Formats: sequence, C-alpha cells, structure tokens
Amino acid sequence: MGLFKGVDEVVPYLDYTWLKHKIILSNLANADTPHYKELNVRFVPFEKELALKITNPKKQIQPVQTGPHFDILEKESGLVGNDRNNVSIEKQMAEANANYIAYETYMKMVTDNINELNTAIKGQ
Amino acid sequence: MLDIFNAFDVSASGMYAERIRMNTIASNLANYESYKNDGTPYQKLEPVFQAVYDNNLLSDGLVPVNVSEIRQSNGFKLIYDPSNPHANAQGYVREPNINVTTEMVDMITATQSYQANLSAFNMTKNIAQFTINSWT
Repeated sequence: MGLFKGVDEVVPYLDYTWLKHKIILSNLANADTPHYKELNVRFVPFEKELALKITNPKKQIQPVQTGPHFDILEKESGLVGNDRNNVSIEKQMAEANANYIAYETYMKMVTDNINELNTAIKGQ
Repeated sequence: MLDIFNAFDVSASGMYAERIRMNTIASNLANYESYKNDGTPYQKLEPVFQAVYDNNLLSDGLVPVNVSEIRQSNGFKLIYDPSNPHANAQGYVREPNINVTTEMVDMITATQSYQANLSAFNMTKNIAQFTINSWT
C-alpha cells in the first residue's frame, strides 16, 4: 500500500540527527579529556554491495541492497592542544544548534505526514 | 528513544567531571601558601579525566567521561628566605607549586566546559519535550 512511504523516507534522517546529537554530547563531555579525538557520524544513504564472494563466474549473484546506515568516525585532524585533544567547544555548540533545527524539521515532516493520513482516513 | 536517559547521563558525566575540576582548583587556590601538618608544602591537586569507551554505548555514539583519579603533582618552588621557620640549612624554603594565574585560567576553561555541557543537556531535554508534544 505504501501508506507510510513518506514517513519511512524521513525516519533514517531523524535517526541520523538523534545519533549526531548523542555524538555531540560525547564530544562536549570529553572536551577536556587528554588524547580524546572528536567523534563524527557519516550518513550513508543507500548503497549496493555484493554480500558473497564470486567463486564461480557462471553464477549470477544479485547485488544486495542495503538500507541507510551510519558510520561513527574519529577525526584525526583539527587544532590539537598540549593534551592531544582536538574537540572545539564552539564548533560543537554550533553543530548542536544546527542539528537541533534539523531534528525539529524532520520530526515536523513525520507528524505532518501522519496528520495528512488522519485527515484522509476521517475524510474531513 | 529509550536511550535518551543515557544521553542525559553523558552530559551529566561531563558536568560532574568539570565540577570536580572546579573543586580541585578551589582547593589549590585556597592552599597556595599552605603547609601540611608534617611541615611539607601543600601539593597541587589535579583530576585525571578518562573517556569511557564501552562498546554498547559507543555504537549509540555515547562516550561518557570519568574522573579516574585525583593526583597530587610532584615538585615544589624553592625560594631563598633564611628568616622563614621552614627554611633548610642553606636558607631555602620549599613552597607549594601552585601558579595562581594558571589556576584562574583553568577555572575559566572549566566554567565554559560546564556551561557547554549544561546547554547540551537542556537541548536534549528540549528534543525530548518536542518529540512528546508532537504526538499529543
């Protein structure tokens, strides 16, 4: 039926912003921890990959489609102080605010989608 | 969204660590001219922060901070003051190795880090509130 197609498309982005928020929290908590490196998250929207190694070329192996997923990465670059920590509080706060707005937008898209469905069901 | 409480815990761990740091700075400033009962100078206190990499939490992007120990730093300042009752045979006095300027700068850094964690904590609270309000 695909009733929730609109919602399903937004949910990965909602998950991404929530994960990013948690990563920003971790970076801020460890802003003064020696040797701590800033964490970041990468959103991989969609990719096709071969799940099996090709041993027989006659066999047709269909690529496996994987859904959106996230990679948590450690950032090696950036200004590093005496404590070898590369977290910038200002940058993290700016990212946190931008991410918060993104989260609100995605959440609004989900609720609007549900409300539209409600309207259609009730016929009002 | 059940892990929202873990998210609060991470910010709380950051605030707790910074508060411990503020406590040690306050002790260092209060005792920058003090001696212990045995006559040795007061030694600067330093908290040691350690990131907690737990695999379960890390997969959720959560890395809390822990104060692993509060250590006393070694070394003293040597001042030539023969009239001081703590002076040795050569006339030198050992004094606490505390630099007031360094402590004040550390205090500003700790305050800013605490505030950043508090802002992030409030932001998490707003996210939770917004999510709940969206469905009511």
